Amino acid sequence: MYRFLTQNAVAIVFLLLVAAFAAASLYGSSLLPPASYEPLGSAAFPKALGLITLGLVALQAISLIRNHSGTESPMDPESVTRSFSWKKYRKPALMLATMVLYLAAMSYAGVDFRISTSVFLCLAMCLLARPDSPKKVLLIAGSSIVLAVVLDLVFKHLFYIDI
Amino acid sequence: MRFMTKTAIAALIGISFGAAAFPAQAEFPEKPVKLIIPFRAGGGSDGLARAVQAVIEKEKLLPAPVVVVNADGAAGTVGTRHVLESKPDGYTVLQIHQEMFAAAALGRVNYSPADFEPVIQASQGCMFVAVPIDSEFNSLQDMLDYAAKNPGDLKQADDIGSATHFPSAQLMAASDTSWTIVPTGGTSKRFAALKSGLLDMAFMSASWITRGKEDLKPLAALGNERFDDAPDLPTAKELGFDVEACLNRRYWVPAGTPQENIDKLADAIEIALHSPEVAAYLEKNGETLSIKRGQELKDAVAQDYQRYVDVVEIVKKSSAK
Amino acid sequence: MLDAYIYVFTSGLIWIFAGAGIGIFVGSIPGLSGAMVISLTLPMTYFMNGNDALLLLVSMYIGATTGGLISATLMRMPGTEAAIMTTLDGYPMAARGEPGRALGLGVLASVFGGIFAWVMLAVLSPPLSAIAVKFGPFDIFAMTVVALSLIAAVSQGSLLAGLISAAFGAMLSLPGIDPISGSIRLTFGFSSLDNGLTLLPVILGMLVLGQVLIDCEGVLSGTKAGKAKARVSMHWRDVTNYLMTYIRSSFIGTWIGILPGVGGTAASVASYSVAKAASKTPEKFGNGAEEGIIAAETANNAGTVGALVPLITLGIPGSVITAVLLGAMVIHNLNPGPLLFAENPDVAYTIIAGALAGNLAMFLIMVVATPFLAKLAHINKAYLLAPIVVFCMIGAFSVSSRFFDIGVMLVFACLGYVMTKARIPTGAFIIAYILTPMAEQNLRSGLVIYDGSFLPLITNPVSGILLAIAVLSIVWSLRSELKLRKKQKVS
Repeated sequence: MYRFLTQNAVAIVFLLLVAAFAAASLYGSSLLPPASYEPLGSAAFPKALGLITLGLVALQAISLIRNHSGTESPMDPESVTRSFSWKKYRKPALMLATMVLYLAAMSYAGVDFRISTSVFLCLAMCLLARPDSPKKVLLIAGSSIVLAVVLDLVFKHLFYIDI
Repeated sequence: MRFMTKTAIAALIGISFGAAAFPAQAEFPEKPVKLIIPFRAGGGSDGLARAVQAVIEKEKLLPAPVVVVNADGAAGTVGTRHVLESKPDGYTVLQIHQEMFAAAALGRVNYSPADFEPVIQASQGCMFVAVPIDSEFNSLQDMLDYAAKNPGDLKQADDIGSATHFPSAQLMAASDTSWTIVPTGGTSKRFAALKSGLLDMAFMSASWITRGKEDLKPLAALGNERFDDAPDLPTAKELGFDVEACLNRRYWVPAGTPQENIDKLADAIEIALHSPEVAAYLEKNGETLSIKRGQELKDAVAQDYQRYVDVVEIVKKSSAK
Repeated sequence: MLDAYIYVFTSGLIWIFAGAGIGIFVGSIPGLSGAMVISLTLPMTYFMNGNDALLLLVSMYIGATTGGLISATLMRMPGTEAAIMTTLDGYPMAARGEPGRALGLGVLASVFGGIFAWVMLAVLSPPLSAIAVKFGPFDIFAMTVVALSLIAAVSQGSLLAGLISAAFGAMLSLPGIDPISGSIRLTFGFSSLDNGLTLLPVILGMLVLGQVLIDCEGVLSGTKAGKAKARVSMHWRDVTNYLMTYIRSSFIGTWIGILPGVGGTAASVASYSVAKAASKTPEKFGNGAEEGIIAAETANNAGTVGALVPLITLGIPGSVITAVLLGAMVIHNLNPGPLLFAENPDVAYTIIAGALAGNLAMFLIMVVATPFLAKLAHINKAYLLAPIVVFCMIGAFSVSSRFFDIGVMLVFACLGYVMTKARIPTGAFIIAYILTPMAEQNLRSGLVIYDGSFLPLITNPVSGILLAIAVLSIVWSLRSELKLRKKQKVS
């Protein structure tokens, strides 16, 4: 059981997510008024797609379990050779966190676009490129500021995007 | 060399971050005024706003610039909400027509015109009843008689719940008939639908009188007066139907905005509206200048909104059948 | 008419090159879309002469569609939505060390599709648009069903995974304003959702930022410079070898482009899957097949030019970009609509000549730029990903000027990441996401027209034939899936 969960962790997470959205779609469609302009109404598509999606999720779940219990090795060689580990998700998670912080800084804290963008660019590039000398860090910081200022000029002052 | 680089960087940072803080001025507006257009770039609302903005800029009618922001989405409600949620200080202005009343009357949104303060009415663009050029209908009465005799058979290309659906419902109420509203989309889509031969009638904007003269037959003008381009076309009111389908483009600010700021904005916009540039724009779009301010404007808003609320039940169930 | 061509190829050239150059540049940056840059440029053309403004915008449109192939090929991030299909074969080919070849094929295909559609535009505009306008809602619905039934072709591997992805995408396209009754659905009381999950944030999140997160995991340095052949290869024999693919894809692309509201993505899906079905080596598709790149890129550029047909003959815009072009004509007092050819023939011919010149300018710029672009594949991606994120943020924000859309984009970035990890094809998701609202709206407004009867779906010749094609294609893909399974069991 444990092996099944770890080997198919991502697939299971995805199926649960889809099932949750399908359930929400079904629930939401049950709140809609009956059709008035034509026979289908606004609830028909959400309901049908919710049901189809749930059905497909069930089929996929069955095939996952089958593949696992079968004596033959599963079709996905990667999940066999490499068992589940948190380590490889560290960098994407950090990157996502920086993006969320960047968004929060602009929307909730109202930080100026130039400041939030140069800080974000600098942090994200340092995270990804792993600069090994202070000189490189400075270079990254400098180019982040320049890029942020240029973007500000182009998009806020030339195109009037109100970001 | 190093010093030079450092100075250059410092200067760059100084310029970039210092620019945000400019000296305080006592007079409104001290900073750019955002003019929110809740529709996409290139549409009728956007065109008027850009023309007005260009004149205000060129003639320096306001001490700070006006910036046009397109906030498209959900039939104008995304941009409207944007203004509703902004500070009532006159720095965020909305330009919209009766699409706002349509959304409010149907209860699709949790705000109403009372949550806004009208600044000025700028222009009016009236529509006309159009049928395909080879249609069997030669007058409005022909068409309404047919609708009365064949319930649900007459099909109008429109958008359900939009600012043109309400006047359609007014016509249904005034003539005591009803027909089918087929959702198609904006005027050019309606034109395509009429040309496909599947649909019978649509409300088209005035510019299509000339633009569509080889494909469309106009039956009645839907304004208070006849069109200059079609002096022989009677209005629905002359024919005995109390219907008015005109888009009144108005400027709004959130309720609670100081009156003196509203007046300053209205003054600047009014001067801009009288410019030859705006006149040229209105003319080629088949719209007329229709300036209303103060109490006159408030009365017009109340009346327009009430006329929408009056027919909301018809709009909700105009499925014919 | 000749005057228009002379004008375009002399003093108009500066706008053509400016437009094509800006379009290619913007199209190649994931996050900035053609529709966005054209909407933003429109206000700046208020002070220009009307014909020049149209030349600038039309060539921008052509440039942006082509530019999308650059990032699709080199980074597996479609720069514009019409380049989704190009990622399937362009990226694998670039990744195995032939970025120059992949780009060269794409550029040649783009210009072929563009010129082919231009010929149709110049010669057959009026009759073609007369046919297109007769397509009723049921016919358009049947078209979208055909495109949806081709999802198997893009699911790459398991058909079931592709179907889940498609159903999921279809489902998430529904919240917001119901296109028929106008009432608001599936928003659960959040007014920010009234406009639904908008296309740009969804695409940018799932296809671009999702890929950014994937890239964060791995080694970031690009392909080894020594291994890759940066040399761009464009050969005449590519055209002769795959002539049928070129012509077929151009036809499909032009025709789908002409139909109002269907769009370049559907065109490239259709042309890609037809090319796969007709190919002698269908197993190569998805692994860097030359025909795959050709089919996708020919069709999306042909569709771009094809979309100009209803615009100039009838004044009917089929897409966001053509709607903005229509706005440009109105602003410049050029009176778009069915009388354009009669009353402003110089404008009509300027646009037609501009479509030709735009394609030629695009080709020249790409030929010069491609060797340098191919070298981009060797840049350390660490320095590209962060700016791409910023561009995506600006792009998502520009849709309705609100931060909510950026939030939506980040959620879809997570979804895209999880799906890629779970080996669920994201292309099927996006295609279903784009096509479902179109299908629903047309089906239901057709039902209003035909008094609630489904029968005309089958009895109308066009929709009837199209639905039959859809059924055949579903049966065919099920059969080949079963065959594949049997083979796997045997081996």
